Amino acid sequence: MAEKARKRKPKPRKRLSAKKPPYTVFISHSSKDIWIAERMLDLIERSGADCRIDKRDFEGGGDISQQIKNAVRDSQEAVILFTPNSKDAHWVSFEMGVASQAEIHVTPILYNVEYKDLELLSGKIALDLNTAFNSKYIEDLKKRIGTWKQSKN
Amino acid sequence: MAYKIFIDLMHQDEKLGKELSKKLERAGAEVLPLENSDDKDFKIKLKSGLRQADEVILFLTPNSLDSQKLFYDMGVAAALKKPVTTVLHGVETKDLPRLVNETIYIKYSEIGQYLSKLREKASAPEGESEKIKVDRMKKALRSEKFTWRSIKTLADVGGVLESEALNILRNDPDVVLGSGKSGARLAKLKDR
Repeated sequence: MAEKARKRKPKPRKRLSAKKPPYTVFISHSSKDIWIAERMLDLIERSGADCRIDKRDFEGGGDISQQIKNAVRDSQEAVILFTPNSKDAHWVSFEMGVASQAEIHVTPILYNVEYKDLELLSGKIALDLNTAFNSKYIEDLKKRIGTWKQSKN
Repeated sequence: MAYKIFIDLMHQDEKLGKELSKKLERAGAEVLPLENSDDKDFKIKLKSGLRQADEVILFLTPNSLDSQKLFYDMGVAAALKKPVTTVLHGVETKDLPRLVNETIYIKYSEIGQYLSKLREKASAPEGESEKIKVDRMKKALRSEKFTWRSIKTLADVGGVLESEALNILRNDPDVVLGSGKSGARLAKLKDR
């Protein structure tokens, strides 16, 4: 009986512990690019930030636009992954609009797409996934986390 | 004070947008200058227009169905907590992206009902606070008879447009939203 009950227990969502640093990064991506988004998430969380990502943090069947708004509201910054899959994805454009209005730090990350083909990016600095994410973005993120923590102390 | 509507559309749809604008004005609304989403300064104009608006109309046509900008605008409107009504022209409801399904949408050919609600709103005496309207909608949600109520019914009970009802309830922590089999937006109290 106990064994059955144990088996029925829902698998806990993969979340960081309550001790996690509260600096939060919202990751916007096309569902087709989840494999890239998960690598990004791993690097970001190893830098000391928490992440919000739809696959893990959104409840299925709910009002997704509201969940996006809440996730962005709870984040200090957003990374928007643009690939051939996502550059025309409605959700990614929507999430960029929400993040832009929330006036948080937004970093577009490009993978196999040209900056000139992305009309939403005009005037924004974008970084290439292969050449700058692991280095420039992560280094700058660590600095932003440090500054943010200092401001909270 | 007039009810301000901001129409967001692609430049290819400007002619139809002007026609829609006239209809809205005849129903008593004030239409903010039409947004040309292809304009270079669109982000600045958009934010200013959206901030002033009481409601945003997204004009969805085959020209804008895959537009990054229109969905970006939708995100800005959502962050500003503005009611959004999507007007469809030449787009089948079965082809709608989920994001649009989460708004109140109407076919351009069936806009008459929306316009008559707008007319009622424009001619209604002012003074009833939003709280009274919300309380009436919540009372309807507490009905013993129904768990889920349609946004359309709740809008009628509250005396607001459907897009306003959806927007109010979406931002209410006691309320959960859902959709019926027909795609109609529904709401219920979280503890029901």
